[in-house]
Amino acid sequence: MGLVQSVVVPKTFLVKVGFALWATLLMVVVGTLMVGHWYTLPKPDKGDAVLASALSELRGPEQATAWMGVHVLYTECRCSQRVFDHLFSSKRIDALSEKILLVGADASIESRAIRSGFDVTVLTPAQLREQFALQSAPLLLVVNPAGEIVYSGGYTTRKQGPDIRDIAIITSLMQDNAAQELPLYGCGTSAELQSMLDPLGIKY
Amino acid sequence: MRALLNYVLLPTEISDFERKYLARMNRVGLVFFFAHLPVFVAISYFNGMGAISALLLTCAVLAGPTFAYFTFKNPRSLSLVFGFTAMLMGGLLVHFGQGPVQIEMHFYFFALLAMLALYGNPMSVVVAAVTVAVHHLMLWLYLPESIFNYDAPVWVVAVHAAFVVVEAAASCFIARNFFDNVIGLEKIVQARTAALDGRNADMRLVLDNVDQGFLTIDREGTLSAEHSAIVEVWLGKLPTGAKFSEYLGETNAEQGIRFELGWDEVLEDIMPLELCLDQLPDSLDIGVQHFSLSYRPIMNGEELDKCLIVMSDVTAEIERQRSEQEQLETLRIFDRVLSDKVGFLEFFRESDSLVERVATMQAELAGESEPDFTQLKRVVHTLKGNSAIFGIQTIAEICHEMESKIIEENCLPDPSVLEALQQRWVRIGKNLQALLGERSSHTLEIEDAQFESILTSVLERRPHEEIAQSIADWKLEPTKQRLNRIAVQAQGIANRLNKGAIGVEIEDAELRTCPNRWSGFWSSFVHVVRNAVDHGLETEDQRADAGKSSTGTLALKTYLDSDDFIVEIIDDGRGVNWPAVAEKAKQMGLPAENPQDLTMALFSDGLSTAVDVSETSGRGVGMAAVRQACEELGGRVSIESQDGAGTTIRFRFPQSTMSPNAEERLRSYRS
Repeated sequence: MGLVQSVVVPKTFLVKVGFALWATLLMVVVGTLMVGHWYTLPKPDKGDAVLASALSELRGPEQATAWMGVHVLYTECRCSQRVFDHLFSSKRIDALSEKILLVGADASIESRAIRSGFDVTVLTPAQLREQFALQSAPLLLVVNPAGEIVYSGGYTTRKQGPDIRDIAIITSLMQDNAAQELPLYGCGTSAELQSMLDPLGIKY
Repeated sequence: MRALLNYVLLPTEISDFERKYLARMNRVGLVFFFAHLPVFVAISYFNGMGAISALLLTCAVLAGPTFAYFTFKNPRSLSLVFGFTAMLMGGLLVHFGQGPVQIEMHFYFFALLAMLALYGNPMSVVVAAVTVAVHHLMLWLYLPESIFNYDAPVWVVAVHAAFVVVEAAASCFIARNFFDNVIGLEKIVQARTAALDGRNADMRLVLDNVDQGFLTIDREGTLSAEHSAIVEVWLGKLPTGAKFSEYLGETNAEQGIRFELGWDEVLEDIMPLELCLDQLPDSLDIGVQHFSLSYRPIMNGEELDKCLIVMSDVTAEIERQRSEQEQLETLRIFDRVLSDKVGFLEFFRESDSLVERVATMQAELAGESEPDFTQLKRVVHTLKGNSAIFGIQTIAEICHEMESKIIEENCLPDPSVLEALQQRWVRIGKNLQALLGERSSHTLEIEDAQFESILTSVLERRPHEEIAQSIADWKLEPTKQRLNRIAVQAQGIANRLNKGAIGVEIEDAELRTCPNRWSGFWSSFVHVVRNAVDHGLETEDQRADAGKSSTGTLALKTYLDSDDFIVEIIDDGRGVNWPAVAEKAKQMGLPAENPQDLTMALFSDGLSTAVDVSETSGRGVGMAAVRQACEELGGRVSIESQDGAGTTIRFRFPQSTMSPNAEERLRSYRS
């Protein structure tokens, strides 16, 4: 007869352990959910050569002397959705050439954007990263007639704020007034950024 | 720090009330959190965050409190889980509540922090606050920028945190106060009840160890539960919710009724309260024990709220007073015996016979369905009068009590009263025997003149028959002896009634009567004497107003008139108030047409012109008793009275009733 010892684990101990696991897991889950919302996304540097080059190519020669607004929007991002709705329902500036870099495929949005007079360029997150050196959305870029990026930032003064200020920002810039660059809240488009913001893969 | 911990950490003991309260609140809490599920799914769905992920995430959060609800034995532990759950739910809400109101979703945290106070457990709030803090700390460690988004300065973060800390502190304060004053109310009540019980026990200890019983009644006369233990020893078990009159009535029905009637007067609030309380029963006899009752009102403003009844065992005090009274009586008896031994012994013998008659009559009357108390009443009255005259007040008082019962309630006295009478009489007899020995009943005393007369007769060799007759006459009682004794008694009565000194004239005509045959009449005759002094003779002032001498006078006479033996009492007082007698007679339905009718009425049972009843007279019993005694000897009574000029009452007997003739008296001595 071998020395077989059975270890009796108290029920209360199991309960405590189970409960501690539940609490820890949920703390982490909820914490990570919050990260995606609270994290201030990285904005591109206005002097970034790759971006400048890509924007120049995007503008094209026929609009070389016009103000250009570029909306970097992500179909999987709720913040980008609200900017879409805003763009399609607001009165746009006549002298402004506006383009949408649509990350991800969404035919409905694309057709709505075209119908609203926007030039739409559909990209994958990887293409956005490679061609424009961008990895977050929604991002507003404003390029003056000289081809300089005069604005690179978010749309709202606070996170998911209802007051989308793109018109005001662009108008101010077009009047040679300075515009404060707003923080960028939204979603990561690059795999690296998404991995950092959502390590558990719940959101993305 | 210790004080803070003591404030935040509840005492380990959980009262039944708290357990029940938390069981209900935990159930409510679980339902509340489960109600989040459809709401979160809907919010998430409409925000484009996905219903499925919302369902899964919310269920994951709900798993914890559900698990705890069914496994945790300590209800307080569940409230800690709820504190943690609340913050997780807040996180999910912020996540699902995307859009312009996402910031506003943070109000959920503050709302829940406040709501957690309902559990009355500061630790529940602390757990929630710590959860939030740990959450932020974790994020800061992981991604510092995620905490201080939009590059908020540290002071902004501090303000943000301050609100949580302040609200958590306030919520802890509310929770603790809720616990102490609402959930813990049962404990507070228990503690105060225990303190009161302690004080009551102390008080009870005091109350239970004094010789007084205390109980209280409310306005309706209902007994309160609180009372001293001795009350139940004396009166029996205190019935719950009963009235004091009922409780008292179980022991003494008469006093119970008296209290009930008296208490009604108290509540009527017509007469002064103190006066009404004085009318309530102030004594109670239970067997051989005597109690006094006193009443102390407990007022609520101007209105009587309750009444404290203090019951005291005064048996020892009563016994002491009785003993003192008996000692005084014994001294008076000695004094009487020394001054008039024969007279006192006659009184004793006569009264002894009366006591025996009272006992016999009461026993006989007790068996009758419609008893006639007339004879008993007269005997008791005669005993009372004679006892009072001879200074035996205890017997007079007992007789008065018996008489009151017979006359006022038309029923037999309580057997215990008769027993008291007999016992007292036996003690008097024993005292007398101790003083006189055997001489008390078998001694014949003669005067010097009688001794010399009989000695002379012997020396002169007078016939034996003549000497024998003279010796037999010794047994006859000179009426002078009786009249002298009655005169002393009359003067004593006058003194007691503040009539001042009175003159008593005696004329006996050297007559003698058979003491045994006449003892009943002489015993009753005292009523006539007493009436003459009490109602006939005026006070000194009244006599002065009437132009009379200040000293009232009585004349007591015995004499022979033809073949009749006359006993007469004459006073020079105010005379009989014949109109009053006539009115009383009419009220009693007696004839009142002529002087003869009025004379008969005056000697009728129950007729008295006296306003007040006293131990001396006033009930109209004595005159009827003396008339009966007169008639038993074959005599008749007449009365002559003139308004303001005095009264003569004359008893006329056949001469033959004075004593048996000589031959008859000697017959029993012949061999």
